[in-house]
Amino acid sequence: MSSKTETLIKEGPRVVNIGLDSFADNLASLGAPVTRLDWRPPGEGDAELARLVAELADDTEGAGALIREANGVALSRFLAARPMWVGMARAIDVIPGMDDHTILHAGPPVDWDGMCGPIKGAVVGALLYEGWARSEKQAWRLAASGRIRYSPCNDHQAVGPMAGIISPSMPVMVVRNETAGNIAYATMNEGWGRALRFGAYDPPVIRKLKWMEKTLAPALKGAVEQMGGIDVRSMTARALHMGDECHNRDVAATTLLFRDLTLALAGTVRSRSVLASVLDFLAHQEHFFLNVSMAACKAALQAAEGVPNSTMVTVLARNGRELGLRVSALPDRWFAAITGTAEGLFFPGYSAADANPDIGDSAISEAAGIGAFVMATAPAITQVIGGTTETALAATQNMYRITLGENPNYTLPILGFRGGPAGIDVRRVVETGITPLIDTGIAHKDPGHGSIGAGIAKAPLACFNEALRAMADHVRKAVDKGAGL
Amino acid sequence: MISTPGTYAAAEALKALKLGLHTMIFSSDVSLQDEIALKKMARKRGLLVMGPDCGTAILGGYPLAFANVVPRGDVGIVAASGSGLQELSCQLSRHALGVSQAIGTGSRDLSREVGGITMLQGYEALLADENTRLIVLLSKPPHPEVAQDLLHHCTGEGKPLVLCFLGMDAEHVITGERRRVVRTIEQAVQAALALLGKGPSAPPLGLSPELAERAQEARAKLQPAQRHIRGLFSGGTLCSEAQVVLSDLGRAVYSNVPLRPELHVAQQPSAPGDVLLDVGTEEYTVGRPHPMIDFRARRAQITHLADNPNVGVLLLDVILGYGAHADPAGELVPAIQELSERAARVGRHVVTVASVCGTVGDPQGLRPTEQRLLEAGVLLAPSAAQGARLAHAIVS
Repeated sequence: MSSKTETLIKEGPRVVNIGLDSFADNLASLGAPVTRLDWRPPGEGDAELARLVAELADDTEGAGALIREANGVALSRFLAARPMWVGMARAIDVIPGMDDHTILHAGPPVDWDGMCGPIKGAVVGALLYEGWARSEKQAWRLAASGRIRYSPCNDHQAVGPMAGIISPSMPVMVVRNETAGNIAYATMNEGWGRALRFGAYDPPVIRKLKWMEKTLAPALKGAVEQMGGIDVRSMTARALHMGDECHNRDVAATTLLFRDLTLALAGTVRSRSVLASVLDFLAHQEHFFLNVSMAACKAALQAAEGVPNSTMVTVLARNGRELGLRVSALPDRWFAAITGTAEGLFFPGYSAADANPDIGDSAISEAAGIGAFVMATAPAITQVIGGTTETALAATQNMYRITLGENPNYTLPILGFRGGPAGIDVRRVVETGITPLIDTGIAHKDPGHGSIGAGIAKAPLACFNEALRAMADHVRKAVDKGAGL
Repeated sequence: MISTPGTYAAAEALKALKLGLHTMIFSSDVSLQDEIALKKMARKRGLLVMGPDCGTAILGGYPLAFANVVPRGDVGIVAASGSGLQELSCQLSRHALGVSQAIGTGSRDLSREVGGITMLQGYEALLADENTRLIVLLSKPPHPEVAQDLLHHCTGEGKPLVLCFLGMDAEHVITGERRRVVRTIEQAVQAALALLGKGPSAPPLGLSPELAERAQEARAKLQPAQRHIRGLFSGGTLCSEAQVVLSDLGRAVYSNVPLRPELHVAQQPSAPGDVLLDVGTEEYTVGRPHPMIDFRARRAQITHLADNPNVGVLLLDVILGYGAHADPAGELVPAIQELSERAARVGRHVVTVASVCGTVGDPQGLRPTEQRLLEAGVLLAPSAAQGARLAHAIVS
């Protein structure tokens, strides 16, 4: 007899009950130790997916062992990442694959015809900004002409909020993961309201972008370099203790950043008028940290990409039509599904009927375990959905159910300094039917309007289902080859 | 303990095994292929898979799923039948024997394909269990190769052993000092008593004088044409045991779970005979809970018996314990009364015979249940086998 059977016989069962509650009731009434699993059919009731979840579940041998080991590697590379904002550069000079006829956009791949209103508007704005078109009319024609190559930011080590447009001459922030040396890029945040990232492209929007290119970027470059880089992970950790979730609520982080930058800028910017305009911009910009943070999240997740057999999610991104994800083991594949509209609060004069479906690369924050994942530490964010502290706590607790581990760098005081949920596991999402929550801004569905609110979105399940099926094929091949065994 | 819809049960069991957990799969509707894969994986890892289609177990004194509250004691059981295990444990307790452990295997464990993996693991576990003094293995007759395997491995060396292959041909009965092979639960209890030195080695299995007298009284109320028994069982193994007893008494018994294929109820000749139905099979349970919980199927059939001029006895099992209906007597009595009234209107009397599979410790209570049945005019037998014998005495 095995020792496990001996223990069962000698000590009696400690039961985990899945299914009929009355069986657990009976045992509980007799004082037997019983745990009730809050079970619902995995894969939303798709029996084939339920089997795949079981087949790929962690184990001591076979497929489950390969995945467990791989996820351990991917997660530890992610957690070990130390992203530093080290400087500024022109997109075309640094972003791989960027050229003079390419425009990068948010989310998974989409062609011009398939683009949502805000992305189209932002593309038009970028064409005007680059001077490739002289008028809006010309810009619309060029955008649809087939002469512009559109490509997802995430395929070029970059991320962009909302429409996520990056064109060749835009300045980008350079964030390097000091642990592994990999680099990620993001544009600077333009501020709230009418902004290119929300699909606005009128002259003031373009003028502001030009100012950011000519004045703001050089100033920040000098300051950041003078400081020897800014440790984004450490700043994030502090902001999480100050009520930010560092996606849609960045006021504490931006303030910390502003304080450090101000001291450096005071030393590096010669012109008083330039210094005044830069400080004025930063001081009225609650979200400036967001883009820095997004690049940092991207840099940390890049470190976890390409680990064979790992089911960890390394990208979450939306193009205003579909949400796309990528999985560590399959770094070149997008898994995308139609996404809905965020539930949220709208600026006066707007309503849910005006909202574009969920959009932007900023969901890289949630992929990296901040934003909605750490809502517990930022209950104020739930005001956009009329939520309560309990809403925030429940959101984070649920996210622990779909993640591989906890992030010791990002502790949550309200949960006894427990590390935030880290490393979304495709298997757990499919098993539980719980999909990642995403804090987000809301763009008007038509080009040219801009931002109309903020809210909380839920990722669609279908792309996770598809990713799980692909992972099953991938891991079966590895098992057949005997890799790792 | 897994009681999800069958479609998901194998997946949940696989996850449990990967976590190093023993599993009890109550769900049926798991493919044979999955059962084999799970059991082989479990055996390799020193884990037990009880089921699929495992209705009951008693481990460490705790009843799992459908189980009765029986005293702890010397007898360890491994059973491929849920209701069989319940009847066996209750009958043992009526004879002052307790249960150390009762391990369920699921109904297909002794098929050729599965090869009795769980039963053999269970046997080994009970051999090593210091609280088990005697082992009973219970199932319908296994596939011959599996039976041979069991007889080869389970010799009774180390601990006395009773193998109960319900409904097996009488010629295979073995009566030994260490090991006995029997064909009814009633005989298994007698064998256990004998091997533990607590009873006569070959006790009488007939009706008590008191029951024989009851049978005579009841018989007098029947009309000459009422010569047949209609059994409606919620426990499949109890239905089988009653068939064994009745066919040993020389009766032709038809069933939806027949002892031999030619006795399938679909083969019933136009001249009506005894019919014993297991209403726990799929044809009756589609879209409904098991008849131990949901009495609608049995109630409907009971009242219809009034229209059959040839039926003299309605034979029932009443299963108590955890998992079963909170008030089985309350469910059955109105139907039995309606049967009596409807039969009386056409000048007939139909006798109801029942055996209660339960103990005084069960949540429903053995005594209150029996009392309600007695008040409704039901004749009570002390076991399912005795119930069949009593029914025969009434209509023969």
